[in-house]
Amino acid sequence: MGVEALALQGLSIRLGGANILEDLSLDVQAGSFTCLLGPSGCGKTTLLRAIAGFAPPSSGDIRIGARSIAALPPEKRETAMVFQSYALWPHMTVAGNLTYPLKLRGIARAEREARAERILELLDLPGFGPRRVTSLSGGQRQRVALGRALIVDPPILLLDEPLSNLDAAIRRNLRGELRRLQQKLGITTIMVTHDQEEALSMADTIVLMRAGRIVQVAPPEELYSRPADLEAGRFLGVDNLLAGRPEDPVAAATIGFRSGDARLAGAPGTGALNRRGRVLDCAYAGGGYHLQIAAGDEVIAAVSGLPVALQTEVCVTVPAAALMGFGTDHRLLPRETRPDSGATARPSPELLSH
Amino acid sequence: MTLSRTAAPKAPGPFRALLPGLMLVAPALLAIGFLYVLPLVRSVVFAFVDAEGGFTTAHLRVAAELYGRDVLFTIFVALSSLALIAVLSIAIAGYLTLGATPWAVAALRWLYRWPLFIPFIVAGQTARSFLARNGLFNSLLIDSGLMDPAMAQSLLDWRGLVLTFAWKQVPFVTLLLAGAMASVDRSTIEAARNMGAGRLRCLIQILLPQVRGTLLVGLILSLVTIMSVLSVPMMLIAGNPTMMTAMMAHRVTYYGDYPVANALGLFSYILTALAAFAYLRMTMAQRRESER
Repeated sequence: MGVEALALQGLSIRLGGANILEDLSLDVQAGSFTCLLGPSGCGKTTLLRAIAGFAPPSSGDIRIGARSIAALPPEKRETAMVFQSYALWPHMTVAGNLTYPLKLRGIARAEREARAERILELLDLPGFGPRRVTSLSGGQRQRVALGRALIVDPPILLLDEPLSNLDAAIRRNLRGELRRLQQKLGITTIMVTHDQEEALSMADTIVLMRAGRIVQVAPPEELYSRPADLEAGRFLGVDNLLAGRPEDPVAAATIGFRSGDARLAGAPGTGALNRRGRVLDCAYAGGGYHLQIAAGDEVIAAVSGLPVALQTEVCVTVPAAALMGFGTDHRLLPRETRPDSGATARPSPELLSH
Repeated sequence: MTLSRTAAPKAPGPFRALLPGLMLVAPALLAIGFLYVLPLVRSVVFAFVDAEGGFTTAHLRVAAELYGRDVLFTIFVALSSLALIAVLSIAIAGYLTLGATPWAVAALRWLYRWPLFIPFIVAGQTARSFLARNGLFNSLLIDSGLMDPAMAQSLLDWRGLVLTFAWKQVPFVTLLLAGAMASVDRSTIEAARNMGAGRLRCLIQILLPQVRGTLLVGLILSLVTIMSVLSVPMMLIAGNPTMMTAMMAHRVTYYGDYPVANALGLFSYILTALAAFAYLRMTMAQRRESER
């Protein structure tokens, strides 16, 4: 089966009177890796289940290539899904799990076994065929689940938090492995995750969701540096949100930046955001110190290479490039700079590349 | 003085150490011994003891000679009932688990348990009036024009027994099976559907293998029940052959012949023991597998 694009058009899902998904439209390019990212309860898993056919839409359409699949039962959709709990069939061996989808498609035994062996090679599990799935480790189970989905050569691969039940080290390994495999096979992939690091490191495109709606669709770099609104920024680790001042290099009601971009300096930097304050807290966080600094009635989080004594007067400075300006409606403002403090804002060509 | 006080107390003997434990299990052990094991052993022993107190196999021979056909009939009826029970309860429990029409599932869930609360003797009576030649079943078929009145026949033979046993035991096995199916990881079913399996395939190839232990338990408990019910064969079947329970009752009631009744009882012990052995073997195999 060839690589195909997926399109959602005005998709809504209602469950027990509540709107789980509201009027979603999304185009997923053929062969791309798309992450559905959002806090728990935002509807990202429901969206994935709707594509697989387990959550009937109340309105809207789902298309794979040119075909509409919204009215088909799950078994007719040919979307291959990998479940969070692996969902391997415990009464079958590894080979049994891998070949069952082929058996359903009426493929001859010899061919089934050959394909199972090939997929075990691909997943770095050679010789695992006769083992019982209950004897495998979490990472091995996840790979078998992935193999079971890939063995039918599906047009769309759906991954429901596939790495969330694994240890951190195995997770990092599998992350890279999964990404390489996806690029090698060129299969259109949609992955649900609540882990922004996972989404940023794996996806071509991230779909940020909140309360049943799509907030932003963007490549990882853009999503990270230009979150669509305050809440999206907070979810993506923008932990400092300060009220804008006239002398700041960005004219905005609220200015956001990450603590990693905030440095202590001897004197205020030019063309940067500067705040004076008193150190409230200094905690070691491996490789550096996390500071809490009281500046007026705001508290700023910053990092420092060296420990700082409590109650020290410091100057925090953040380069203009790391700042995000949000308007009174909490939406991100187009990037604009003020070359000298006090001057009126003047829009400048937007640069997303840095 | 101080030495003797700090010295460790003498270790109690092995029996003294066991005593508190024995005291705790004694009531349960005695109840099982007197109320269960003793009568069982007595009835087995009496099947082999003649009037003078010596060993004999005469009772067994009489039982086999007079009632051999009944033993075979009992096995046949029990196995047919179990097959029907298995098919129906898998179908009902499967629909309860995989059904896509919420109101139909709710209605079925509410309805299927009713026979659980009806005693066997009432079930026998109901079956009698339902399955007789001019009973409700035939009347319905004739009134709806599906059957010619001349074709009407009584179902009060082995078919009546099988239908009644199934009617009474299907809810029980379904209850066990539906519970087990509900606790199966749902994503294993969704994974199968996602991979292209329809509902029926999911039931037979994914769901059922995961609950086959529970099905077996339900069927073995049903077998024991079927082997021990007296009222249903007494009410449904007039002539020969009939179930072993009816023949044991006959032997005791009309002849006061306990030894032959005990010999017949021995046959039913053996039959149920075989089922129990199969069950134990399977649970042991499952345990070994999960420990691996």
